[in-house]
Amino acid sequence: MTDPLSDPLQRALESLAQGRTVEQVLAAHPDLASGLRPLLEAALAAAQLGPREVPAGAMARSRRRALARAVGLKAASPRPAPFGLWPRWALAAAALVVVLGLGLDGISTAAAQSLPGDILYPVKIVSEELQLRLAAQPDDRLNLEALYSQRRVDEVAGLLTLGRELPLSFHAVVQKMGPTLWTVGGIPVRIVPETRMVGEILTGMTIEVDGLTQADGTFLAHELHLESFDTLGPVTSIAPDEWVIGSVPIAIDAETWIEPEIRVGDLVLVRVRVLEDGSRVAESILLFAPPTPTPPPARPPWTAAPQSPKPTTAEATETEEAAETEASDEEDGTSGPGGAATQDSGEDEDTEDEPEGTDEVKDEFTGVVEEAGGGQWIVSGRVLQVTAATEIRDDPVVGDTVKVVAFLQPDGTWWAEKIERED
Amino acid sequence: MTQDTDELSSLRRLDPHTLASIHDRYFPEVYRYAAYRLGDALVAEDVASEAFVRLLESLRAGAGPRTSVRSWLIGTANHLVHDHFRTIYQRPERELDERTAGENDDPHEHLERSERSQGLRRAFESLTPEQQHVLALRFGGGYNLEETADLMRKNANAIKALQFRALAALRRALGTPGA
Repeated sequence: MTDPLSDPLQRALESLAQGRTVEQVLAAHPDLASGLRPLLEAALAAAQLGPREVPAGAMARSRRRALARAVGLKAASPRPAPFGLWPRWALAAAALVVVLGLGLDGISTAAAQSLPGDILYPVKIVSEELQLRLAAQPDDRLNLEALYSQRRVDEVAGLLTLGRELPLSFHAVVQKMGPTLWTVGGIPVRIVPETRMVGEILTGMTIEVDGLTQADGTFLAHELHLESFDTLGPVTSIAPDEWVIGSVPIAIDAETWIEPEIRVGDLVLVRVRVLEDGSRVAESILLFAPPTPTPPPARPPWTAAPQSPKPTTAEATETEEAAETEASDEEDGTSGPGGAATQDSGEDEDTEDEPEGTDEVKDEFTGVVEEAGGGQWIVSGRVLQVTAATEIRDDPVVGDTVKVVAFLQPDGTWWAEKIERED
Repeated sequence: MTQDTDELSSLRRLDPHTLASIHDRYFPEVYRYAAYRLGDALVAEDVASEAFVRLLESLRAGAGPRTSVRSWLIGTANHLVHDHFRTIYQRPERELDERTAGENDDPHEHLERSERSQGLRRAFESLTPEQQHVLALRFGGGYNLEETADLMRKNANAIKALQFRALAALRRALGTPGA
């Protein structure tokens, strides 16, 4: 049951926010003064609890951590969640279509299992294109694209098992690079002198492979095309049509998004697109540490409107979604070693006014060891360079879940600083 | 599509420009909320930062917010705060908040202020999580009644009642000797 003081309290708080004193507010409600006074005093106390300013160093560290995580996630193989975003009615409708289809002639099932070269394969492709066109939300489309991309890789593997020869292309992460044989998305790819390389490809990068499945179980590469990658480095020079990052020139075009106020010497994160001729164009150039945030206006904190737009009621449902999501999350440590506060060796000494900390892109993640040994490991699709300096704890082997701390190298690869088996 | 929806689509593709833009826009709000709840700048930084990492990972996994990034981040920060308190539930002592001390402060005055501040913090932490949540949004985040109602998925009248109960409980806790 609502207390009769709830409404007067809200009005009193609004009056306080307009600059009136407690005494002035209570004078306007003499009959309620005895009840309101302790509440207003508590409100004044509550307003003293929070900070007014955000430490510049905190924002810089958090931005670096988030960008590093994004770069790290991009380096992993896409993990499609084909039905994760589908509403129930869509799943039911899809199920009905399948049932009806099977009842009629079973074409749908046969087409879904077909491989390139099969008579029903075009049905499969048309069906995929139809689903893409029908995807109402961009997110659903993105998920379908990831699913179909993985399906192309699976089809190549299927054809290699059968020993069929067919021209195909697929996108996947480069896992191993030998002199004449690479592993790309689990597919053994044969490299010959005629193979055309676009871009400086390294392990861990996602590439497009054009070529031919062969009877010997390998994929003969005609062209390997690096499409985009992220790199971190200092700005060496700035010109209207070209920036030099470290020692690498990168073209700028009309579509390049450049964060304002970047100067020579700043450390920047660049997403680079590789064109057909192998030249590099920057898609975006970001300062690795952001500008100092502006403190909030000096107004009574309980009335100061936030700077960003007010959420709608529909948007507010996201709070619950977040709650549900987080409730299902494992307790992976809100203040543990993965925290931003522990990324910077300076920790608490320079929190207030020192935006600079580490100048490296560090990523921490948990994954399953897919390959181990030698100078390279693969953990949940991520290719990691392992050296004598890498700290490997508790002897993890293939199949183990491990926690990894890795750093992005200037050449775009990831070096593992620590790999630790999780119990 | 709303701005948030457009940005979420870009964020699912791990576009660094969109990520930096979203981060810089919402980090101060999330940090202030966390700092208000926790009373510890370092842990607040950790919580706020973790909320953005969780956002990326959730979106990449096909989950995460559909429309409002801010609501999702604040909701996630709320749960991270819960997790933090669960972890340290039985820790017997609190560290002094050295950040309240200025170099030119009179030591006696500083001690007094520090004790007052700790008393207020203890009183706040004696409230229920929902009461702490509403005070953090209203008095820490600076959200008005309607915004708080949206963020907590309640109507404005419910927020008024909750706010009343929270302030009444805080007043009682502050009045308790030794609080």
